[in-house]
Amino acid sequence: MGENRVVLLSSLVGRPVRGSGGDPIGKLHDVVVRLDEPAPPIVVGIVVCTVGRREVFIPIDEVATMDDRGVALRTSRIDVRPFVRRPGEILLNKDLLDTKVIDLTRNRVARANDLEIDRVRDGWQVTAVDVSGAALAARIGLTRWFRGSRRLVPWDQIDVFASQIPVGQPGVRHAKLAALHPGDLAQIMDEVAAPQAREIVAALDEARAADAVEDIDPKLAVSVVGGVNPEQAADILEEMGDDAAADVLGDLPPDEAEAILRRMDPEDAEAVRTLMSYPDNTAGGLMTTEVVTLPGPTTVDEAMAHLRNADWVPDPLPAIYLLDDESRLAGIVPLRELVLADPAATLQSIATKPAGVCRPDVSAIEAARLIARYNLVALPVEDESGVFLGVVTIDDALDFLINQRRRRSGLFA
Amino acid sequence: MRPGADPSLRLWLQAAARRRALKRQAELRRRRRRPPRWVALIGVIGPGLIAASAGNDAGAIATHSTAGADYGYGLIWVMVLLSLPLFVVQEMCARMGAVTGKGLADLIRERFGVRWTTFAMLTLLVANAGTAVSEFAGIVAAAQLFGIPPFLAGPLVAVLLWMLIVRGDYGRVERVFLVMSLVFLAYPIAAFLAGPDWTEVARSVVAPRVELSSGYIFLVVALIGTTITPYMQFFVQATVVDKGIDATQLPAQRVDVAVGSIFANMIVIFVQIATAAALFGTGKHIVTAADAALALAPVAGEYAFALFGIGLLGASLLAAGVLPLATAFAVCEAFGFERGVSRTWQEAPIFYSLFTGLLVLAAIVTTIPEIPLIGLLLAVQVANGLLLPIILVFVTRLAGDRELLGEYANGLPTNLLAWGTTILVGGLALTLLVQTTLAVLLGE
Repeated sequence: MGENRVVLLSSLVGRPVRGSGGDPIGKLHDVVVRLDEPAPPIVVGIVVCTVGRREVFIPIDEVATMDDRGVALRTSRIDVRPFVRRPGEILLNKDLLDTKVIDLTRNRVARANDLEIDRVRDGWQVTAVDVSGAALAARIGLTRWFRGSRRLVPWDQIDVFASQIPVGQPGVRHAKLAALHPGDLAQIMDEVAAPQAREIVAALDEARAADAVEDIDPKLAVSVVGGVNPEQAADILEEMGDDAAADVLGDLPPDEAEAILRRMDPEDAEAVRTLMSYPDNTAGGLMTTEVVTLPGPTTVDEAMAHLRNADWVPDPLPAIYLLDDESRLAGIVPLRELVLADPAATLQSIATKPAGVCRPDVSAIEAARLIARYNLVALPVEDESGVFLGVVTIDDALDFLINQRRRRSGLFA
Repeated sequence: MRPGADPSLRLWLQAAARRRALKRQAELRRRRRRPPRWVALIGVIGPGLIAASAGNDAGAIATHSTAGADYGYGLIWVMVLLSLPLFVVQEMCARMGAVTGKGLADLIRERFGVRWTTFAMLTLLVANAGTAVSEFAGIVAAAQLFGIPPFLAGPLVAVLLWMLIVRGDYGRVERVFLVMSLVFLAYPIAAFLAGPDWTEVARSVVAPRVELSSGYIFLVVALIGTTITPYMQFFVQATVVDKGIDATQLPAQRVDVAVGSIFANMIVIFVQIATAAALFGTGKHIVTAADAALALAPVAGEYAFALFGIGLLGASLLAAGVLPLATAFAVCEAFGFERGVSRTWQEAPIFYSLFTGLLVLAAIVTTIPEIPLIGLLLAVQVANGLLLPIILVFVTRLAGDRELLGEYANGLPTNLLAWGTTILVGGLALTLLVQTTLAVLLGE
């Protein structure tokens, strides 16, 4: 008898299940797997809806063959107790099919349009997920009208969400996500629901989580940070730029924001509090206070040593800002000048005069315009008495401009 | 020591000065604006209220005007009763959105699979294509009041809306439409000025005379279809998800949905009263928008048609823009196609084709010469009423799913109400279908 070694979940569901003598037992409703990453999901049994309309479990050892014609059992005696899911068990049809998964071959979210189950040495396991439109068309019965090939993503290139599975702790560890760029992670989080985005954040270390959360949709960021516990939220926010942290905290309910701020490093918290006080669409709202400032008489060599020995340096680092004793901006040494200069020269001798300085309450658009007009990487911001407060960096201004269209389009962006 | 001799001291002084300046900035602003507590509540209030108000569109105004003109106060009881199911259904969708963070189409796909999703989406597509047509009927009817011929108004508005949406400017214009549609708040005033017999109104609500004629059932189904629209459930859930409302904010969300449901139904009850006071018993029926406008005469006199026209135009434009967009969004969400106006046509071809197709269809149908606009509006509401039970079955099954919602799944009272609504609406729809089929077969 020709036995298929590979079968698609969609071609199994609803197929007849027969006993060893060919006697009808019922219809296949679901396939139960256990997952313990990094191993692929192992099939532990099937859920069958019996002729008497009862859902029962049949262990995989009792299954002789399983293909698109149906399932043949080794026995005709089944345990008729109703099926109850045990913790950690995943139902392929109910929990996984049609849900969103991460396709690591493209670093994007995809829908599991079908699942491939393979016969291995001593059992069955899930080996691939079909994310193609062709799989979708086949399930509706539109293959004839649909051109396009199937796209099976091997299981080791797929990441699934534990929060989709209602009972117990499935063995999902998201180890594969550690290799992704924070920008890709942000894109992925934007495409899944808030509980799944929270699951991703919880699986990452603070620094990577912070980088990713900085780039996601602000509303999602609020819901993600507000959803994890204050301790963890504080850790993530400390790793984020103070401007991004302020954006998130500013949109949380005041008492929740305060609970997180109290758990943050006091100095970070103070900067964040200041930034929170500016409206989002002003230079103050885009500004970061994380800059390197040095006195004018410092030599280039000393400045470089200062940067190298600092336990933390802002990222990006557009320039070094020279301040006078009243903390007013006296000059700017862009990174390029610093690198090219004679190591013995003083910073004030190679500094440029600040161009296009603005107040924190000018509009964000105006700040972007100043950056464009003066070809700046970062626009300095000062208060009414001239005290240097911080800078608006070009990447934040760009984000603001791009997201403006998104904000205007509203719900259906 | 002279400052400057020691660079680290200078650095420290500078940093201290900067910190002081930053702190002062924060103090200054904190004093200037400290949002009162109710602002937090306002943040949650909204989705339900907007959805309910957006539901009072061209189709709703036409249906309630007709109900008032043909049956007087005789159908007000339907609206009083409908407030509860309206609340129950919207609350279920809002709850699912808050707990799962997913849209309705998304949940249908995940829990019922591809075939049922296809069925649900086809239902939604048919219902919404109809509703899009009805919004354009409203636009064309309003344009007629101002002397603009239909063959001009329909295509012009379609092109205009398409450009606004694709260019991403719709969000701003939307507010203008919303303000225009607030004109319908004139209905309660008109109702009071018309001096109706309030005891008669009260009696018709407490002890209604229910008829079983096909005309009566036709209007009841239309009233249901225009109050609990299939599309509104998708819209409410999408808004809740978009706002990032989570399960902890559900109590405030419930208040929002309740206020929205009651508010929306109050307004349309006054539409029925005002129209009944103006037209019922005069033998006049609503054939054109101008007839319906007469109900506003107590407020605006001879300018009633202008007032009515502005409101109708605003309400219709509001829905005519959102509806094709929301439909395309939901369908693409369900099947996993690229979607959203921030993508290009090349990136999201199905999304753009769907919503462009709906706009074009609506513009073409309403441009057909001599098409009876009010009749078209009513027919669409009935179609919505007939399709509603299908969507309700999906919504109720999802909202009762313990594996999906855990402790937030429907309790027994909600389940009873939801299934009761579904069965009642389904039964009425069936009755109407049977009556109509019999009438056609018997050659009436």
